[in-house]
Amino acid sequence: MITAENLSLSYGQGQARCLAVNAVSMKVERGEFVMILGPSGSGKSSLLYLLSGLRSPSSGNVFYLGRDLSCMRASEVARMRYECFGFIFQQHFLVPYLTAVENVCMGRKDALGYRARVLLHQLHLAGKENALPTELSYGQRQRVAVARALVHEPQVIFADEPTASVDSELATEICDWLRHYCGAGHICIMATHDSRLIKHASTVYSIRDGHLGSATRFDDFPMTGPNSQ
Amino acid sequence: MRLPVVCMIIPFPGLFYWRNRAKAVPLFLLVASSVLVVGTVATLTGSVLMSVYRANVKPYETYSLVVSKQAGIPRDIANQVVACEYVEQMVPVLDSKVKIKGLFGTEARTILAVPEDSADFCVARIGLRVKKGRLPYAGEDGIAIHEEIATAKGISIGDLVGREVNPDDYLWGIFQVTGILKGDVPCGIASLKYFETQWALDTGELDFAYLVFPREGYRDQMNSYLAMLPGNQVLLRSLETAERQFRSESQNMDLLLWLVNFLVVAIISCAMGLLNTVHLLGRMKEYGLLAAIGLTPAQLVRRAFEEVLILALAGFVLGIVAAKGVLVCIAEWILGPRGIQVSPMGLRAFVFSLPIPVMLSVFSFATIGRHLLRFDFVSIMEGRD
Repeated sequence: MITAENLSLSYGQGQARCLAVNAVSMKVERGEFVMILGPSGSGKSSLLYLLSGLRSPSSGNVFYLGRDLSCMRASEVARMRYECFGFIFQQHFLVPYLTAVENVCMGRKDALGYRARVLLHQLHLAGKENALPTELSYGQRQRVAVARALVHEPQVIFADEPTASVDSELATEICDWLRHYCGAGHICIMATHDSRLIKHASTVYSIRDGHLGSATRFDDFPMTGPNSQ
Repeated sequence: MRLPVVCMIIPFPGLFYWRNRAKAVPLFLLVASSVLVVGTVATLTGSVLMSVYRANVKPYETYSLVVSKQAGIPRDIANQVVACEYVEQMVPVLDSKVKIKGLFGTEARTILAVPEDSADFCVARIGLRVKKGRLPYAGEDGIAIHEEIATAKGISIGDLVGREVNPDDYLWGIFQVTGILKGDVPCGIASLKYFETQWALDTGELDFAYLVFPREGYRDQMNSYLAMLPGNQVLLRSLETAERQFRSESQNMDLLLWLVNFLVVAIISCAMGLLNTVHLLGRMKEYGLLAAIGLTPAQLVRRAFEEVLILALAGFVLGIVAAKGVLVCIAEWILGPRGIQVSPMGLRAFVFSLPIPVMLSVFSFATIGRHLLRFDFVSIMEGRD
């Protein structure tokens, strides 16, 4: 479903040139929960941004459903991100003047409000729908960010260190949610430096200095989530 | 029948300013106060111009004035005028001026001295009617004046007017007010017979000037005919010449107003553009997120523009309403009692202040748009900005 072929990304020029992603090839199928594991500065976030079309590669190609992103117009890539992809970032990036439910629907049509409320309820934020980010704890804000990524039921979730700033309990909960979401035939690609979380993934890649290691697949990937029990 | 569901993208345009009223209020008030000032000044200057127009141009919509350049209009020329098929009536006249206090200094108002048997006709054709009292009799030292002149001068029936009462007036002699006139043209009517006794210039049997009234619908033809009268002997004052003079005198005022308007617009636009840019820079994460989610730069620019537009229009509406309120108060309590007419509900305030929200939106659009089209939202999302 998502294929990367010989993907590279470099910053700067000449002596200052830095290769963030170096000739990465990978393939992610429906239902997979892929974790890209690596230390800070290893290129995992850069790889995530390349796969999601947020950044254009210096060389190589990314295919989504067989379509080469580099052959698509910027507006088509933007539309694809809008309709098919969901993003969770390391920071929650909640808009301070919007309520929780409005943050979940951020950039979307207000018709999604009902689904946003349901999601917030499932993410244990019932009663906080109309709270402003300043009225939420850090963990609650990150839950809102998760709901925001899921509200339009995207085919692919890209999560860039979503658990970096939360306690282990919430980190586990977020991973459970993403795993559950993948169970419905979606894809989740998550960049993390926390090796304790790999137990939640179906496939784990390690990355170091922009080089992607071989995939470790967990055949017993459980397709269940917190609400499926 | 199913009604179409209107869905709006969150955040709705204007929500930022609604929820951040502390940031919105200064911008809002900046626009509103600018519109208030420009709108009020434009209306007041417009009222002055309108007042001058009503006094000096509007009368010529109903008549033309043929004035002697020498000591009276020769008989053959008078006969020539009477013979014109477009002329309904020719009335001998002497005209003079009285001064009243205007909004910006003194303004002159015309007094027409006509024969008593033509006075009713003249009053009717000029669009006046006697509101109180009566027109002066033949040879009487009386005068009927327009209510605005009476109010401005603070006089009424029975009071005296003329150069001997007020040296600023060009009205030779002393006249007693016999009537108050009402209508669109603020002027006065006096007796020609009495006027001639006060008149220094002796024209003998000849008349010095004529009011020439056209047949209905033949004003232009009549003026074309009158324009062919010998220019070395008579001077023609028609609607065309009066309008030409009015335009040349008023264009400087409008030019000055537009210049002030331009400066206000430029300063406000810069100020608001900068404030908007400051606000925008504080919201780069929000715009970065929207871009990451999949909104195109054009959509982001449109959203930013809509916000500015809403704020500018809201400020504009408030400014116009406030300007109208201020003008109504000025008209009612300050200028009205002095006989100065102000039209608070005219379009002038709207026309002159409309460039404020328009230019402001365009300027903000240009500054914000340039920023949003260029910004690297991925760096913001990566936390490397």
